[in-house]
Amino acid sequence: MKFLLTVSLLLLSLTTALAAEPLPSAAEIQRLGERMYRDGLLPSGAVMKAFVSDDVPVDGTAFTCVSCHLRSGLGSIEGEVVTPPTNGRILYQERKPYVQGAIHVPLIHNYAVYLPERPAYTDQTLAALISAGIDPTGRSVLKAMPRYELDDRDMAIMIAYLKALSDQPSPGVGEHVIRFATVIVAGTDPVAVESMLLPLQFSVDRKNRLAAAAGANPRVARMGYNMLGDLQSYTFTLARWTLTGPPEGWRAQLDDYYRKEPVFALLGGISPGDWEPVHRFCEENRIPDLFPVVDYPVISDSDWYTLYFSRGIRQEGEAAARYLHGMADLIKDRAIVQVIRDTRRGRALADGFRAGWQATGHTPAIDVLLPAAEALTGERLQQIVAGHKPAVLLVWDDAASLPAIGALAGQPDRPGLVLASGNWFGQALWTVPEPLRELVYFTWPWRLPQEDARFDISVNKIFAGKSPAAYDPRIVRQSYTTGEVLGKALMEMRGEYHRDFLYDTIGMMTDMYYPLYERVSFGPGQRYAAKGCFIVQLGKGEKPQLERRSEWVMQ
Amino acid sequence: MVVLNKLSRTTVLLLSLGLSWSPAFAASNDPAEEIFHIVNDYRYDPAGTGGDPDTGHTLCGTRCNALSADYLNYMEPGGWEILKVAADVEMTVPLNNPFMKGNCICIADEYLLRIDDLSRVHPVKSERARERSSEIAR
Repeated sequence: MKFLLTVSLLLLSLTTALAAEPLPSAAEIQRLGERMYRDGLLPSGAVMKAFVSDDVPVDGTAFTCVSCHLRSGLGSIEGEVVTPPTNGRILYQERKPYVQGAIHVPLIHNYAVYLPERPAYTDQTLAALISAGIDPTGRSVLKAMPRYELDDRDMAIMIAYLKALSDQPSPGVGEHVIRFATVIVAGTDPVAVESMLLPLQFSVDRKNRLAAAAGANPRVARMGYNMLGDLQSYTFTLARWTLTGPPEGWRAQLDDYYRKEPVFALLGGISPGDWEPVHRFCEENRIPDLFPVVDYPVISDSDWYTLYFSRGIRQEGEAAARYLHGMADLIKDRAIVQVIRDTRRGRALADGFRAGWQATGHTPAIDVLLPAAEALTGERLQQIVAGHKPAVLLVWDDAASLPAIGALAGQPDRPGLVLASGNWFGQALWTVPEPLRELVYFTWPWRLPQEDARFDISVNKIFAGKSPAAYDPRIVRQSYTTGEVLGKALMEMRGEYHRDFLYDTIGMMTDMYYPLYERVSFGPGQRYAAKGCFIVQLGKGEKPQLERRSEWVMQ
Repeated sequence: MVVLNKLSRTTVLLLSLGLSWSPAFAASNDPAEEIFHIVNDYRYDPAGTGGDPDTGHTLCGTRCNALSADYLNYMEPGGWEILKVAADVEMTVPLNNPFMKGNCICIADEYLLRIDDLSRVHPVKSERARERSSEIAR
């Protein structure tokens, strides 16, 4: 009785207060509400006060709304942990155990099954939930949900923000169509471009064929609905946005394309060099870009909207540092020398190594820069080795350096090991002469070729009569993964086609096993899916295989 | 008599399965078969070289884990069947480090991987299917 009285008094006071306070503009509500929801900061800039387990005070920045309800506010189901949606559109609807028309769509039905019935929220009952953890039935919600101490105006801003959160489908989503685009930087090798496009177009065409078949055949429609929910009736489009000229001019072109045809997300994309302007365009317009095919992704801990396959070329250098860290006690005071070809690739590898090596507290390596046009001769390399007597020699150069490395093999003061980029050596890696194979180690940011062949059965279906030899196998495999991740994510989005929910959904996926990379894993806010790289050596014999000398992800 | 027949057939079947699961059989040269290992534990053996046991143990972690497979890499593409053929096999491999000698003993479960081509007609299954059809017909 006392409890009901408390709730009634709380609702009465909130009713009065919420109605009385004038609110800022819609744009300001969005900005201030987002800061409260994501960062735990009040409109004043102060930290939100929160309480868990009834009365344990905690810092609101450590217990933000977004950390459980995610950016989209559409909640999550992970195993048996259910975090309900917290956006106004769903909160202001009654929740019933039976959802008309969605019995066969598990991800819709599960919310209804897992969570208790409740009437629709009102502004007042929602305020009671946020401040006291009491739902409209008078039940107290889980103690894990913090209770936030907000004054009336801040509470009204928060509620207005939640009402707008994931309220309307994102741009690019029509009644029965979801529009995508892919960005192609002019000047990219045409084979690479076609290799990126083929799997994407295959995914789009496959989806559209299903939608057409469902439209023509009620049985297919029912099957499609059971599998995909309302996604089965959607068609996809894939526009090609070609960027020309120097990178400084790309932004205007992107803005123009987007103005003419807003898209839900960018798929893939390809550039032989820069990607930063596309990355910035996506950040500023909040447009997801799934897996562009680039060697030099933008490295950021906080950017949100571009999901990369990996940290690119520099990831190999980082892996080399982690591998050598394991034997640092044996290297002791002996030097590590990086011979760096003065190109973007050489510098990226060296930067990756430098960052990884210094992060573990080691003495920096000695860098020797090779001008871009200067051949690395055996004499020059021996000179470097004689001068520094390194325990480890990193050669960040292409396969033309192989004869020079070979000249070290018989030297008494040769380094203990030579490490190079297997990716950069390309096919020449297989020509390393047998006497040198014991000395030379390679970074290898892919699954081993002999093991990746098992995935051919999945990938080859996209060729549909075309010759695989006409395509770049690595790019085909990358782009194939893009289509698969997109399809899986859209299936799990259960009709809620919001950009933030796309990444919330991908962030909740378990580790995945696709072609090319040993493992791709996601997590909330993670933006580099393949986190590993092998260190390998070439095995013995005339038809050698690569042999692993490290795990995929080294600690 | 019927029971005995059944027993003897079962015995033969179990024996044949036992043979086919033995490591010796698994190491056959059939190109459609592969062996892989999932490493459970490891240790360092200085083998008289005087290598530091702690450093050796750490390095053997990397060395042995490099030999270990992530079984999902075999399961996910589909079209393959995996049979566990031995448990806790001790494999001795050289540490393979330029700065320290010795061996690693990797303790692993051993698996046989072979093509499970669903479109291929399996002779044993076909024979069983024929027998079953005959029984039903009778």
